[in-house]
Amino acid sequence: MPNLEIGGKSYEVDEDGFLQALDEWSKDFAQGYASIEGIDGELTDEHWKLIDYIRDYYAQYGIAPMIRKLCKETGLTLKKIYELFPSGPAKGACKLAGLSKPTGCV
Amino acid sequence: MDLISIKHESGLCFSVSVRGHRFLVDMGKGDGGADEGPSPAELLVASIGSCVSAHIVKYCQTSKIPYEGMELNVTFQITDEDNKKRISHIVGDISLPQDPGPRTAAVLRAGQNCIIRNTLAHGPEIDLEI
Repeated sequence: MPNLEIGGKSYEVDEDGFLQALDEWSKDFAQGYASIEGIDGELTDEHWKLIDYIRDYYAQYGIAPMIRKLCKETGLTLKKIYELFPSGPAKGACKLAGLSKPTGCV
Repeated sequence: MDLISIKHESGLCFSVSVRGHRFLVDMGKGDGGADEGPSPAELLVASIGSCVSAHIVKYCQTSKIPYEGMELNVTFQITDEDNKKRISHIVGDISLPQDPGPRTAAVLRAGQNCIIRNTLAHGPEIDLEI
């Protein structure tokens, strides 16, 4: 497994860059990963709303939420989600949320 | 129906020709392609989105519902069951210049009744030979 250096700390990720150990996640990890994912500057409240919702959902159900549920629960449109995370909810938001690569969901 | 020709160009890139139009289809760089064009899965979803949009606009035209600048943003999810990948969900947000109000359900029904969606719902026979 490759390692990713963020803020002087090394994280084990899979070949697509998804964190392998959920409990290694931190807000610093998400912020540090943002620029790699093409997000300029500090993560905004809307970024965190999505990241927090995805992490809460995953903690409760063990999977990432479906896209439509993500939109409804956060009040964000698909277009807005892609503006916030140019790689999309799965490759972008879930990655920053520290989830392993989603299968079947976002 | 007109002939649609798919010709290998390089790597996983193919040119598609139909009725004098030509475009490239390729896989993304992360999936072994050179990203010269949309992927086949993206094209399929774009096809559904375009067809849904056309049916919505046609309904709006006949029902005198404003549709100029109508926009559909669509994305999809892929599932992998027993090494058989498929698109499991297609999700779209439709924007119209005005809220269709009590006609919202009718607009959505018009969009759902498109040829591509109906085709996928019934699983067409795909007959290939070499």
